[in-house]
Amino acid sequence: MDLQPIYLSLQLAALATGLLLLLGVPLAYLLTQTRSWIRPFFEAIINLPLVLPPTVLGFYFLVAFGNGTALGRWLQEVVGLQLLFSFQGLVLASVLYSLPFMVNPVYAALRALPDSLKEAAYVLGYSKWKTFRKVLLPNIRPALLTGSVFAFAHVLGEFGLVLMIGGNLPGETRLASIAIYDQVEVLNYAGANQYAMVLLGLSLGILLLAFTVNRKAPRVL
Amino acid sequence: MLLLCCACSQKPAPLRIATASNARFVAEALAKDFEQQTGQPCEVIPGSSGKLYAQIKEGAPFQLFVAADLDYPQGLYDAGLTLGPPVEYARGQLAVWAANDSSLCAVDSLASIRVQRWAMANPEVAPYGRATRAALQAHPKWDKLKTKVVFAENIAQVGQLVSLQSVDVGITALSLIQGAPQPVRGFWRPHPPALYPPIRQGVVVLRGSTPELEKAALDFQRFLLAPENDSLFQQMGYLRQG
Repeated sequence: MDLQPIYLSLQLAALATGLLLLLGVPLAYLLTQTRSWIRPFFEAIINLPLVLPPTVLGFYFLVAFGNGTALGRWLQEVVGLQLLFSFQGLVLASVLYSLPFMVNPVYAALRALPDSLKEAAYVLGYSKWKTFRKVLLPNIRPALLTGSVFAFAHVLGEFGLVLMIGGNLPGETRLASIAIYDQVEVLNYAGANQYAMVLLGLSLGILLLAFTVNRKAPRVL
Repeated sequence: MLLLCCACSQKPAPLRIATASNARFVAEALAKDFEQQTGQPCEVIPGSSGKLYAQIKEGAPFQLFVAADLDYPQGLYDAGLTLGPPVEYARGQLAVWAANDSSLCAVDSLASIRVQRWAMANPEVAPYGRATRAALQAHPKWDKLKTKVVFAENIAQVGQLVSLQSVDVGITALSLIQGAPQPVRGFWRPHPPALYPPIRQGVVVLRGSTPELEKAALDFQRFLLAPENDSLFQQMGYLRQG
């Protein structure tokens, strides 16, 4: 069995999860700060990848970032960023695709914190940033873990999107899920099974670890 | 990531050959020989002709397109994306494939009550599906056969349905059965080529890579068409015009 697709999938999932922590957590915080009438719009947009078929996302990526549009040409020629058929393109697509898996649990946890916690920190002289970092974040640690784990696992399982915009290039965009599909296509069920078992074991292990850690996590409030 | 990219670029850049699913085995065999003879590393990227066509139009980094028909390569040629017009490299053959019962691998048996379901590739998207429809529409019992058909997304999926015994009989590409690296279950027979319009498969060399890769791609195209490889194509279920 060629292990490269599995390494590639893990690499992609780790990178995307890291970026999601950097982007998704502030986004969730901002969401708690927005006015309540406008919030549903943002919530709806962030959650779109949950309901959209991945092929729809993939199709729009293909059209938007290809040679056929001004945006695609500008990105390639001026910025030098090749988003289709490349690893960095998959990273961007994965971040968008898994955004709700990070934002939702973090947002829910932030909203569940009593306002008095924040207010006490302000009264004691903490700035907004310091309160966020030193008071709010430590209190939502289980949600951060849940978000990271689900985002990671979701990227591992990504398929339709990668099939559309990846181009199945070995070592670049041939992920484990695509390798399984390939093996099934050539009726090599034993080969497909090997990849599938590794992916199944990994996913189960990651989820089990997360739930075990969260079970032990002390509830601060 | 950057380090990884640098480590890869030590070797010459690989020749990327986008290949229709039915031709992947023959393309992989040829790529291996070509690599041995020239030292040029090759990667075969399998997929359906329609998907590969769309990806090439959006700038996918492939140097050759080995398609399942002539229309998709012609479309790329018309769009100015190729170094020349499509060249027919082989003609595909249909095979009737039965999972369990050797007496069922002929088109006439599809009408039998022992066939509850049979599968073919979707004629709207798959060139082999189009050929299958053309072959069967002339059949006197087509109206009856039509009620038992299942449309698969492509010929590979027909193979899955047969080998997992989800259907009794499937009509697929002979090359998918004869070229498979591992033994395939069931019984099959080629459908007589005189009974359907020829499945003419074309190859084009794509523009837009480096001069070295374009040269390698042209060399590979010549290699693909060379008479010395006729026997390999025939062995894998294709017809070659001499």
